[in-house]
Amino acid sequence: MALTENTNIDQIEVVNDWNIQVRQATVIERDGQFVARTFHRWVLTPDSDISGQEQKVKDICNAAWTPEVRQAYETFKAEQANKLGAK
Amino acid sequence: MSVLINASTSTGLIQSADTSGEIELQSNGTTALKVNTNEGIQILNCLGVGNATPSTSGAGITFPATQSASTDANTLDDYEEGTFTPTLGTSGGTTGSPTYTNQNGRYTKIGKFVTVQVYLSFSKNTLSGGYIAYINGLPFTSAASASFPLTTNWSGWYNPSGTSFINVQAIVPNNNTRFDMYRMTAAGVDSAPLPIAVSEMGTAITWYLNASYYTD
Repeated sequence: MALTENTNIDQIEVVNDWNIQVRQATVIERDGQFVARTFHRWVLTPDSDISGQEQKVKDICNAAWTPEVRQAYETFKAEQANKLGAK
Repeated sequence: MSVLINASTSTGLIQSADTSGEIELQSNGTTALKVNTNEGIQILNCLGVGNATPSTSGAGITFPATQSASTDANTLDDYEEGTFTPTLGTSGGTTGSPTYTNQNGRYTKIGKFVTVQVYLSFSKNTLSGGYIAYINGLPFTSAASASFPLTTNWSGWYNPSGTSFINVQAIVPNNNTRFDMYRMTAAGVDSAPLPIAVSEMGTAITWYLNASYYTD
């Protein structure tokens, strides 16, 4: 009986223009038969460091984060900071 | 057992004359589905909805890997469990160089509702100043609507070398993936919780959070 574990990015979603939701799935199989699956998630925004991301994630980020979207994100951040009293 | 096709409506009908009132669907000698007029419908393993392949582990409902959102208020259209990695953040963008000793996050999403647990502790906090402390890294973006901008959650903390808090609240702003940390320092002194400045955190701090929020 051989157990194998495969990890891959199985979902990349663009949410509300600038949020890139990434899901990593880890699937464990025994002799090719599914045993278990776990998920790990993270969300990237235009100010995130994406240098360590997989190329397909970078490609989605670069496509989604147009100059207009980046500007809208900065405006949103500034408005929210004022609303919440950030220093 | 009889299988009938109503010619006028093309409606198919599988009918059992057995007095037990039960029909079973079997594959390779193993029952997968029972229909009983008295006991209802029983699925022996997992039920896959949408294009989901039913899980071969345990018994339950398997949802599609990518949510097929329903606009119907009575329809459960998503379920997912997993982990995420919380990190320290600040309103100034800088985080110093904390050394994390515990950095654990897990979530369950049911429909639009996300419940998270966070256990985050770090040492060598070198930050100073008035920036608001964040916990970054939530697994889903919160709802964009400004009509529901804040969600208050319960939390615990351990801040032995910092300001003495008597109450801590973590708030998820709309369209975000972070907690903003708020506190009170004395009962009845602060009229409302105030943002936790990074300077109020000691050189080592631990956050325990059990929180929930909505997505779109």
